[in-house]
Amino acid sequence: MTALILRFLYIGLFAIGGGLSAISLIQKEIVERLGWLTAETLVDILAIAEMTPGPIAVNAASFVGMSLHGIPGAAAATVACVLPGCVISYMLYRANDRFQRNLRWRYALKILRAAVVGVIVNGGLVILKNTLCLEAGRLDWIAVFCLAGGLALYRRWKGSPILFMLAMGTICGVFRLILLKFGVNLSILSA
Amino acid sequence: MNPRCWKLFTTMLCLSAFTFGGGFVIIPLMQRRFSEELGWLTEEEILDMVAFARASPGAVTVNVAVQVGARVAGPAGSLCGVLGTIIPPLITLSLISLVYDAFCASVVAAAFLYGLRLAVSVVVVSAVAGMVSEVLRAGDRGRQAVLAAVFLLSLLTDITTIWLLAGSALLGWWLAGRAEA
Repeated sequence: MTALILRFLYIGLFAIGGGLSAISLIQKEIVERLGWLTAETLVDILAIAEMTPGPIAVNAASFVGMSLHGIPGAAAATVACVLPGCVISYMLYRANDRFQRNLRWRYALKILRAAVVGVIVNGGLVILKNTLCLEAGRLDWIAVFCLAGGLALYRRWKGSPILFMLAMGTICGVFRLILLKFGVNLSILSA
Repeated sequence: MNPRCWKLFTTMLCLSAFTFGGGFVIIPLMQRRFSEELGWLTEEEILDMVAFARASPGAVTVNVAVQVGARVAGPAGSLCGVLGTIIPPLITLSLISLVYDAFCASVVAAAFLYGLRLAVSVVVVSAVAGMVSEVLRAGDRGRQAVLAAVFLLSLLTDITTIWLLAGSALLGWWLAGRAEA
């Protein structure tokens, strides 16, 4: 258990730059060096982590912890995995408070914000691509229509985004089940 | 307990339960919730926090939650924000690790996830469009150029985001120095 916590503290500390670097660290540490997981299980975890909500690194830590030590293991691995990042970004946030009076620092932040928006736009495109494209780069037309319809509705939506997501998610899910039930060959509809 | 802490906790719980693919999906949602609906912080503050979160190791979402918490309710807020962010994936993954085979085979689960993914895309696309039009309408040529350059570089090249962000911060620092001189 201590070993598990230490490993995930280490992974949390050196996984700079988001989910993928965490995954490669897990691959190196947990799979190759310690043999706590097989390579196939790691691939499975990745698939689940992609399918389910939440940051990939947190998902992987929960899954590994759960399969090694049950619920306490899952909780410990997850906390260990996020702790270093939390401490460091908290300190950065504090440091920023102190620099606020510096004009040059403030201008640098202004440019930085535009850059962050640029990165977010790219992130949004990746999401879109994952939603709309099937394997082999074909477009899923049903998804395109659902998305367009959803966007049109969402512009007029006044309530909470969470409610909208739940409602639309359920409706689209049921729609897909119905299509499958009537044996519509979904691959014909995709070009 | 501080009511703001509780609100932060429940908000992060909801957002974290619905964000697939991690990372930047949740940022536009957090921005809409915390700056537009609750008015706790400005849009700029969130963007700064994202930059700091990206510069720290680990999951961006969790790192942003720490800072939002610190901003609205101090260290206790940070704790609430982080707990709210990690509890949903922790529970989901623990449950799934128990019923992994059944989960993978389930048509209903797959269809629901498919629908949810579409719905998340809708919300994210509209939020991102809002952020971009904000920068475009502000009319600062330099910022528009940086936005476009960073977007194209991260789309077309393999340069890690952290270097793109560090580079633009340095650029801003240098430009500000020149303006002073």
